[in-house]
Amino acid sequence: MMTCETARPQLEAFYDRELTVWRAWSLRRHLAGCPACAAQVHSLRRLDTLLATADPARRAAVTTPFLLPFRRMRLSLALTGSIAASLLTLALLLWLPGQPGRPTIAFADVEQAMQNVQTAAWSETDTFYDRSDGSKTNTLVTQAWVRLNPPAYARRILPTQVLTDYDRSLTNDQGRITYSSRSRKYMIDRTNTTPGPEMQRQVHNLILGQVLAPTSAAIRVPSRNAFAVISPWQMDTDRVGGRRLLRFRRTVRPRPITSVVKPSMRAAPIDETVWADPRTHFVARVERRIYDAWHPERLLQVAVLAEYRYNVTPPPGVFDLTPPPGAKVLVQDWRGHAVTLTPEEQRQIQQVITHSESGWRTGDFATFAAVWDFDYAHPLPNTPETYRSGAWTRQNWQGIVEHQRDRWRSWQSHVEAQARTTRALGYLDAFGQSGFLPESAPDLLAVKTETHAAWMHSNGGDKAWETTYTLRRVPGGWRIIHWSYRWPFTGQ
Amino acid sequence: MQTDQRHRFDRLWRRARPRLWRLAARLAGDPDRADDLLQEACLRAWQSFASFRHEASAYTWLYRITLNVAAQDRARRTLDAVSLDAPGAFVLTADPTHSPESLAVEADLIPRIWAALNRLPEDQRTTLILHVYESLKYREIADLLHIPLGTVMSRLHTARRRLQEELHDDL
Repeated sequence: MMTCETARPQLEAFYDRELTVWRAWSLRRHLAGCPACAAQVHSLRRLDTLLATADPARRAAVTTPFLLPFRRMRLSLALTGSIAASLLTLALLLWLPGQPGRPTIAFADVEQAMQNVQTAAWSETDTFYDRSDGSKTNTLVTQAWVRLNPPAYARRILPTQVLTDYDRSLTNDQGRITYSSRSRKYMIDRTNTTPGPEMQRQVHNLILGQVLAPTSAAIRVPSRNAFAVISPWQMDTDRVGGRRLLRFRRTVRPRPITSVVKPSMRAAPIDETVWADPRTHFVARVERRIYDAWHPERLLQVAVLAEYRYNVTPPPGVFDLTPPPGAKVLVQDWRGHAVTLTPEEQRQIQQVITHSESGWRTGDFATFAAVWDFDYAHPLPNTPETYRSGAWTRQNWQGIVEHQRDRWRSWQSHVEAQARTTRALGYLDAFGQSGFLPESAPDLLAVKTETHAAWMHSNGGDKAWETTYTLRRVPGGWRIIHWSYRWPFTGQ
Repeated sequence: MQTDQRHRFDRLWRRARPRLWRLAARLAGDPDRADDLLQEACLRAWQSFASFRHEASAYTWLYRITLNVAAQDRARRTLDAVSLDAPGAFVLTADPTHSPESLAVEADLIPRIWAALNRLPEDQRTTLILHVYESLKYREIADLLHIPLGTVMSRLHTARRRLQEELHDDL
């Protein structure tokens, strides 16, 4: 049996898959019985995960710890006659206990089964709790539909990159938001403007993974929240409504950030439970309990996804978006399609945006602010404490424009505040943006452009920047109330 | 003959470019520098393409050129290498699992990680990037940098130890 003294110097090489098969095997046996050495390997893994978060090329996507060895396994290994050794390693990996983060085999069955889903409908009940006294503040019931394109049988033979198209519809008493891959009339299909593989993989994970069958990969990849510690699924059985179901439970605990990070910016701990049908392995129910990031014992939100129905034909028109009466949406999709504004209105909007941009470029806040309406803000019902006053918003932007100080952070916090205080973003639901159509505010308009790479970055190259202005109609013209952008996804 | 050579180079460059771009972005710590570095690397590669004897694989040869260009570029630039435009993707959503909060935390974290990486000595930093981001094996790094295998291991070990100390709060 290997001792710690002999094991320690080899841990790094072991983690890097640089040891011979037999050495790795004996070391793995040692690790199974030695928490101290296992912790060292785990700390190497955590460092790797952290570094992957910061990969500027965005290609070293955060992989689950389970997949890491396989990503590194080279084809040459197999070709040089070590196929048997590789298989043995694989067998040991699967068999030996003490591998942290390894998915339960049974949950892999659920993921596999969900690949056969073509359409899904479910009802989601979100209950929000007050941060201070834990009382229930709001309940939101949403009916959801998702349709994946292309069909399930085609997905089996097509490469993953093709699985980008989907239609989605969420309806509740605040309105309806839809995303339709076929109707680009009201929204911009982001995946068509920048068909980078990274983005496509994210869409794939979001739909197949997060919405239907949440997996660690699904949580980790789209958010790149790589410092979340995700426990393996715990499996047992449970009776729900007289049915016996498989139950999988796990926790997602973001690592506490002790440096100067505002409480509102910390990631929240989550408990997840997924119930699956024992026969079909389809997901039957999902429950997510989200806690306060700063006080992990305080429950903030419970989301229950239930009443799943699979592979039934969606009702006609469920993926079509009907804007509220009087709302006008300017569309600039990749084909330069359809506009519901008059040429005069378009010209006015263009002028306002140009004006604001010239102020931004020169650091002249007066010019910048001349076309803004900082006072426009709606507090969302369940987050009153995030409301920012117009004066605060103005001051924040002034700091950014005049000093261009720490641009990234200021921007980030600003957008965070704005996203909560105005519902204007609800107009746009390209992939990744949620929110509901602000039926209470039909005077709002969202404009999406991609023309700002040139001045944000002189060597913009083939980067696709998406900038979203939200404007509000005022007598005689328009005022900007919100401005946000996405960082580029390169086509590399 | 010249045209033929140009075509061969074009073909090679087109194939290798995505990989080299990623390498350049990682070495520079900033995707926006990658295009500049790559342009310089391309120029140098073309200039010496005629004398390239295929002793190493074409990829290795281009890798080396890109490594050199990036190293010289870093030496030229000031130490303030952390871009304010931290690389990151901005996705706004009401979904708690990738909420603005978690992204904001990340935006704060990424510059710190890069600051820590940039404080490493150049040789350790390059070795670590090649290993962690490019997923090169010890032997491949040793061949690429013309250093013994043991040196690769010790550089990696030291670099990791230092990063673990510096990023202790985030681990």
